[in-house]
Amino acid sequence: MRVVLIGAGVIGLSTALCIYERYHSALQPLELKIYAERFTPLTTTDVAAGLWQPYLSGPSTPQEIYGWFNTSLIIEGKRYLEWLTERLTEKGVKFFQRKVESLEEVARGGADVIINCTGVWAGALQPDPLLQPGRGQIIKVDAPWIKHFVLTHDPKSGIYTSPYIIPGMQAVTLGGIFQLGNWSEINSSQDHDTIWKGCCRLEPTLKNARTAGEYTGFRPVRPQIRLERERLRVGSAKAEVIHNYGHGGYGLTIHWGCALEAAKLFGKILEEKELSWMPPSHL
Amino acid sequence: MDTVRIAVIGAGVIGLSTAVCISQLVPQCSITIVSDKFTPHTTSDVAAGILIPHEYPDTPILTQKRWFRETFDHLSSLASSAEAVDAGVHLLSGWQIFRSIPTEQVPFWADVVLGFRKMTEAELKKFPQYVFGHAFTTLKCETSVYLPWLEKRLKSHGGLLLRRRIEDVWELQPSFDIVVNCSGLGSRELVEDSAVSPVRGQVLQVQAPWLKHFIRDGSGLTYIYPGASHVTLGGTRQKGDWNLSPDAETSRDIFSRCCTLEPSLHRACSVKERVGLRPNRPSVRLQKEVLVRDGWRLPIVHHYGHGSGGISVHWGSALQAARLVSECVQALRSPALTSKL
Repeated sequence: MRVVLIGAGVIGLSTALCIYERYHSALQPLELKIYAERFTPLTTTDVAAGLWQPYLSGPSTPQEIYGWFNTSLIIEGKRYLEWLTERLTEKGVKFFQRKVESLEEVARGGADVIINCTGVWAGALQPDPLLQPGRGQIIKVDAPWIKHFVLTHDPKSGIYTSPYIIPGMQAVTLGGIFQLGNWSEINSSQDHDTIWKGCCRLEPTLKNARTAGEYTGFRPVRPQIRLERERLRVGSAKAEVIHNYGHGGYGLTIHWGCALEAAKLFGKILEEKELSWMPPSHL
Repeated sequence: MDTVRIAVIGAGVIGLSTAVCISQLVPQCSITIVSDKFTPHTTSDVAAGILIPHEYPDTPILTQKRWFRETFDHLSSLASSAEAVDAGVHLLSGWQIFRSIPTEQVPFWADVVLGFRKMTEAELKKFPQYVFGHAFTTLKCETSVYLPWLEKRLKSHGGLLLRRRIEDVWELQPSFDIVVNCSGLGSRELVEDSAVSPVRGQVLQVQAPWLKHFIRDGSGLTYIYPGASHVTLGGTRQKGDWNLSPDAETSRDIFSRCCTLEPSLHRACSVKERVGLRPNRPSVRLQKEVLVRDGWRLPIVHHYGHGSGGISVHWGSALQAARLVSECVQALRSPALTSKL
């Protein structure tokens, strides 16, 4: 069984690990290859602060001023991707740096199953008008005295547009930018000022913090995640495709659940293939 | 009005904060800190500086609570100000956990710290050998930064620092009018107080910047306090032990106990060992008296014996000491109005 997974962000690598762990013993041999144009530290995942926090759903009363306190988890994108890469490499999964131009190309290359985890760039493989970039910019600073995350919400302007401060393993991430449809990969000085002013108002001690870097990333925004199968047929080539993209700003928060779901779809594919291999008398 | 000359013996958190409080309360005074040790070589410098009170058996609970609240409020405003980093004060949340349900489930200081609540079953799962816990947000006062910051404040108000070992308080006369004794454990010899004795504490200072919560065993023997520049792992409470050198076996034991609570500590690096002798006393001695020798009078205010709780109550305690000093100053300035001793 030849499986090609496209994309090496958190969705790609976790889906690969999940599928490998569940099916490598059942499928001898399971050849799993990962194709990606970008690897850590250049993926969208690497830019994320990684705070586990599901989206607030539903409107809140504008008049309300309240706050809540909770303990959460941080999944640091860069470190997590490195760890996932180590686990996959241990298991013999091979990585290939290449830009895939089409799903058909991968099918013609001999893949039986293609797993599409191309995130915000999925539209290049197959047009998807529902998928848009939700551009974000962040500043990373050294401020080791900060031990709490602060998220602010302004229901009028929408999610991620209000300043946030998220301490990570080494640096603190400052953010608050969300621009739908903006594909500019360059750090904007206007956005820098917005982030800096907003965060300093929340945490005055930031004036003592040293800047460690500034980054831009594109949240793969979609009204809902595309997690489904598709049968691909191009001339003589055919392949089963599993799409797993469009996780917006909550990819790290939800990645493992989605990987499990994708693995379930993979399992279904295996069942169907087994049926087609069974001798007629068993039907 | 003559300038009253005040000498404060001791440059730990008690000496320095008392001096600052005096400078704010008493007009027309000069303050000199006289000490054989200054930061980073004081007992305070070894302390992690987490604000969790230690109970003094012989000091009224209401007084301890007042001191703690005043200290907490004072450091809280510092933590929210732009000076927080210069002063070394920041908020810290975490858990205090117990192997068996304590008799006092809600401590006297529960309404002073922020967000105090009992831990949920889900939270306790992180600590398999523990059955009960408190979760709250408190402050951490990094003494290695706070003490220099207090020294700076003092100097900007004209205060002086004098490095000198005092064997007898009378050495300070006639250069000074009032002596404030903040000599901590040194009072055992300096003023012959056998009630103050050392409780040895050894700690490890490690690099583990991913830790953002404190974890403290309710017994106070094992604790993990993440700070701005390192994480403090503790500890020991060895009564009557004067040994200031770190013990390797003890370090291994501390590390092992802390790793049990927080396994990720196995990846911690850059370990430094430190030892401090807590100036233990059944109650804090906060008392004024006038010493007399050969016709000379020396007003003295004692302010020492804070044991494990020095940083937690320092500001409230210093305010009270400053009030005692103020009374001594008034007595000096209007001798006709003072009543008999």
